[in-house]
Amino acid sequence: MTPSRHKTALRLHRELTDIWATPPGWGRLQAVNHTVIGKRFMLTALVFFAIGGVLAMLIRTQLATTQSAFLDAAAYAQVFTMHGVVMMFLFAIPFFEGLAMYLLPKMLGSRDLAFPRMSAYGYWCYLFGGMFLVGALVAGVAPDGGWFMYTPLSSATYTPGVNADVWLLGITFVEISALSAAIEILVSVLKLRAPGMSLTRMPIFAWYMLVVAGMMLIGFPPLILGSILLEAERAFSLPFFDPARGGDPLLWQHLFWLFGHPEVYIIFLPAAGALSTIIPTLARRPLEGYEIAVAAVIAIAFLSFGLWVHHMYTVGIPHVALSFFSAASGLVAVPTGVQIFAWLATLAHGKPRMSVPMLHVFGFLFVFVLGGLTGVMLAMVPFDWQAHDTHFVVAHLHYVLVGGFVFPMMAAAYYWLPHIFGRQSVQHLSHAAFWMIFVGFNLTFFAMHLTGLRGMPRRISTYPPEAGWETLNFVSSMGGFIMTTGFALVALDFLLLAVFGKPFRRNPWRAGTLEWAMPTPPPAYAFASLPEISARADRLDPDRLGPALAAGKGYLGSTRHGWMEVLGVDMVTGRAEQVVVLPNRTCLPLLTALASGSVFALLLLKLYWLAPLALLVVVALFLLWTRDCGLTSDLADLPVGHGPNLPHHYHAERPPSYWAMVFTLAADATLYASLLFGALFLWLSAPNWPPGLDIPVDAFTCVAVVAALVIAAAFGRQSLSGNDRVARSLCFAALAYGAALIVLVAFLVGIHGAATRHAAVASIFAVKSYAALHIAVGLVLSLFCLWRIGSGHVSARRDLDLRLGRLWHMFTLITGLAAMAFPFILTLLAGGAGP
Amino acid sequence: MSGNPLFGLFAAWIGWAGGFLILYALQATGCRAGWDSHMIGAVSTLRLLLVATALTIVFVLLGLSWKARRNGPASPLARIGALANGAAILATLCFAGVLWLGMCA
Amino acid sequence: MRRAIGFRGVLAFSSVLPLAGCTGDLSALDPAGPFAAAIADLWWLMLAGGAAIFLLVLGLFLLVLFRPGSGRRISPSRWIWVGGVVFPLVTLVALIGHGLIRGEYILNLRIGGDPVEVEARGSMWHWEFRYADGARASRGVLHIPVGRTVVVTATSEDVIHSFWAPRLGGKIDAIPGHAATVRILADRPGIYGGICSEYCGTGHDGMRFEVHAHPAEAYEAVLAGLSGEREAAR
Repeated sequence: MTPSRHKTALRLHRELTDIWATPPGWGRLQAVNHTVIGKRFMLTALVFFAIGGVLAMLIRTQLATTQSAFLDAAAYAQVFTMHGVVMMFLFAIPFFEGLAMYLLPKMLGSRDLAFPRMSAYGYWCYLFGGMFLVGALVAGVAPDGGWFMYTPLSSATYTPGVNADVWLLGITFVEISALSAAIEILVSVLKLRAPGMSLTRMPIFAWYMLVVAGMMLIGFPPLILGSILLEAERAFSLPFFDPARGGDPLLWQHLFWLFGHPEVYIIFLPAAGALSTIIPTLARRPLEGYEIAVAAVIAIAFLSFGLWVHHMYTVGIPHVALSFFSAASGLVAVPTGVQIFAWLATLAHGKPRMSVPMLHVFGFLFVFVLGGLTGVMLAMVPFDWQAHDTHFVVAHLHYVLVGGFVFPMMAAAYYWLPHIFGRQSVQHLSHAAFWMIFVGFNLTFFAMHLTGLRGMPRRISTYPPEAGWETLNFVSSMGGFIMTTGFALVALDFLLLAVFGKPFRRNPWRAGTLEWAMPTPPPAYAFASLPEISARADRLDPDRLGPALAAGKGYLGSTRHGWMEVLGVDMVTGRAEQVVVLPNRTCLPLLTALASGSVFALLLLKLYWLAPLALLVVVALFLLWTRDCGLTSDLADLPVGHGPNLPHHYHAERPPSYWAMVFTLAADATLYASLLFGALFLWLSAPNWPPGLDIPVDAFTCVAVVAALVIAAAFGRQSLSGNDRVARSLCFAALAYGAALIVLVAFLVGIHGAATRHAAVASIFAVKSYAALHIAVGLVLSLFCLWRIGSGHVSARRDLDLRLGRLWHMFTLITGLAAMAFPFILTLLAGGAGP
Repeated sequence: MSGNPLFGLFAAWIGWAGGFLILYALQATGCRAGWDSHMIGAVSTLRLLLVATALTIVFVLLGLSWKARRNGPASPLARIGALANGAAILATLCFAGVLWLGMCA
Repeated sequence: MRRAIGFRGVLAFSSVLPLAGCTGDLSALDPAGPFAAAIADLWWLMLAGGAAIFLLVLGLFLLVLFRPGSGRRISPSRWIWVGGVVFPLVTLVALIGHGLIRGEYILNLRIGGDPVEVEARGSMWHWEFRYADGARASRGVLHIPVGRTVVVTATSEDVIHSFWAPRLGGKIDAIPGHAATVRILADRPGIYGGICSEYCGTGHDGMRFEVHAHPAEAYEAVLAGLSGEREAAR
């Protein structure tokens, strides 16, 4: 680097650091930076992994011998439930979210994610939700019905304590974090990339995360809905799952597994994405079959939603219906095979080099292929009739999850830790640690296949000597302890790397992806200027790009107004189309998460009258977030260093927040569809139908609400032809919403007694409550837009707030119409085709 | 939405997922309503209905993927779309059970 | 190369690990009737196929890793299309078809004339069995005739349980408000183990039962000796 270039780079570094860096001390609580939040997610997830691991050791100690008296059945139930909950919800999902948050902007040539404050909020929600759960474990009131919480065991009759509430509320809290991460990732991958990076030039990891985020968007709402319904049953006696009152335990199973099975692929795919990044680098050859791999990931995403019933082969569903799910469960192995052979082809045509990550790739392949094979076995209906709910399934799921997630993530850790710490491994412990984990794992879980086939069910805490399971269990337990020692060594190895590793200049693996085109450890702003991409972004030369970008030769290579600027691109072609100005560090995410946490805490303490007040605080805090958003005067297009000037995102046709709204509504619609289908499922499957009482159908309410919603949507849609007129329209919309809300709440109050007597009325109650909630939000949004007009944030060129509101009004109208029609449809069905 | 090239990537799969739900819902509704014991010739009404629905799904997917192929230029994105659509059509194999398996037991 | 030995040593070690001994009162691998046998056969078939596929994939991986260039004669797209698409697709379609045929066989198999119908009623934490529409009942022991298909209808009075007699057939969940069926059959007289296999609370461990298979004449006598359901519940 020439001296003058060096000086520019240093000056730019100082200016950008002032703008982007997280302040030290208490200022850390304001962090919104993706590097910081990503690392926090990963570190916290590792702490939970350690907690889950300790719980696993308690399980293995209990089962090591026959008639063990180590834990009693009640304590054991909490331990195995929490092991599953912690590993699935508090380790796996947050860990890959953290990895994605850390890597995506850097791989895509951007400086941060689209909604930095949202990532921070998601982190705090995750942390507080996790603390609820672990706190309950310490207090001895942890969930104890198994990680999938089947009703009626988890209903108020059989779990009268707070245990199940902890699960339902804590997990819902964590799910909110996961949903916000999903929206964040979707929008960031689609909109915040380096100019020129079209979709098909993206590094493949971004494709995986794009698909995973889409899956989370559709997969999590059914579980959130299920949790809300079950909590409503436990707290307010609305009998969605109670067979005596027209509910059905199978509804819970459908809702849970509709989330639960895609979840497995949601966990596997990010790991596969990491492998698709690591293997080509280690093979010194770009990934073979990029296009077919992307198609395979899309195929997995959809197939994984068509196999949830393979957890329910033994509930008595007709064979032809099982065949759909059995075939989908088998066929999902094909796109998985495509990926494995794409990796093999890359290795076959490359010059693979041995290294610690490669060792873990071997561990992945060995373990995951076995897990996949047993998965195909379990997909076969007759075999599952035997193996279901035995230790064979326990073995299978650990082969899949440890093989498909833990080994790849350890490969990823050894591959990217040098990026995080700027130091390379010294490798004294890495090999020993790997072999201990690998041998320990296979000892533990290979034996378990046989334990299961010899008849040992899941979740029993003791077994008699004559069952003949002791030797196998003892082998499993010993293997488990070896594996745990291995993980402890890995932790030590990471620590040694962080402290004593040897520093390096740049790009130690000779990778071709953008995250290495920056100094390590990475600065808060990631890139001093943004690159122009003209080839597939896994075939770049970070060693050449890095210094040029640091010297400000790329886009946005200077600062203005202290703004945190990134480029927004066309989602398909990658053409630069707007300058996205991100909001800066703030305590608001933490405060909002604390307020959200208090809503859940109040519900947990059964202070149902205080909870809505806390909810109002949450809404108020969220409205405060918008103070830093938007512009109070029109701006000319901004120069970005190269090419034509670009508009501020607030002037753009489709800024990130527009897409965030679209995706939020997609998740919301999924939840609503699950609710409607759930109610129809009750009609179809639940005992004690038709209800022995009148289904409340109030024509007046329906007509009044529909009229009000049409008025609200019509006025809410008014196009902009002067602020006064819009303000007047918004006032009318708000009034209409208010009227609709009053009528609807009156109706809900009227039927709440009947709702506790039969699930038919309870589902009407739920559907109308959904409508009422959306009407309330519509009211808030109308008033919010009025406030924005008053504060000068709205003009003909700055109508984003109004357009976001319009999306909501239309959505509320459509879902509201469905909600009003719903009781009539249910009456027709329950009256007509009843048995 | 259909103007968005991204839609072409997922079109056939969205059709597959919708078809899957329709078949499953029809099967359950038919069993509840007793259509499996109502025979047309040697075949139950329910089976006929499901077979017809499954065939319709296959044709709709073929149509969707044909349309996507005709519209798009031979870009990498279009090639991925063609592969994904082909996979979705292959995945209709999942519905083959409607031809011969037990309907309501 | 030191590392290479490590790779292979572990491979050899873990593939010969425990496959010995498949007996036990609850072992699905020790079938005592055609239903359990049909499933055990399926297992052995899948085990053989699965082992072959596992060795193939792992072998290919180790080959391209330790003999760089050995896979270069095959073009990348052939690797992916043959190994990743055609091979799994053919194998899986065959296996899924086979699995469904076997399931249909099990669901429709009738041996020894009209099936015997019994009801298994789970409650925390024991099983009650009812015969002849509740005219006879027994607790903790299910009596069945040898050589005749028995249709067990499972239901529950409280939470979900699961009826499973591994040596005689598959399992079926006992769900409150629902009644689902499973077919079992014993070839020989004897006592077979049964266990609840869906977690149902702290008494889950002990929720065992026995299936006593009697020759036809003895079965009638045993049934005649049973009392009605109300007494059995005591």
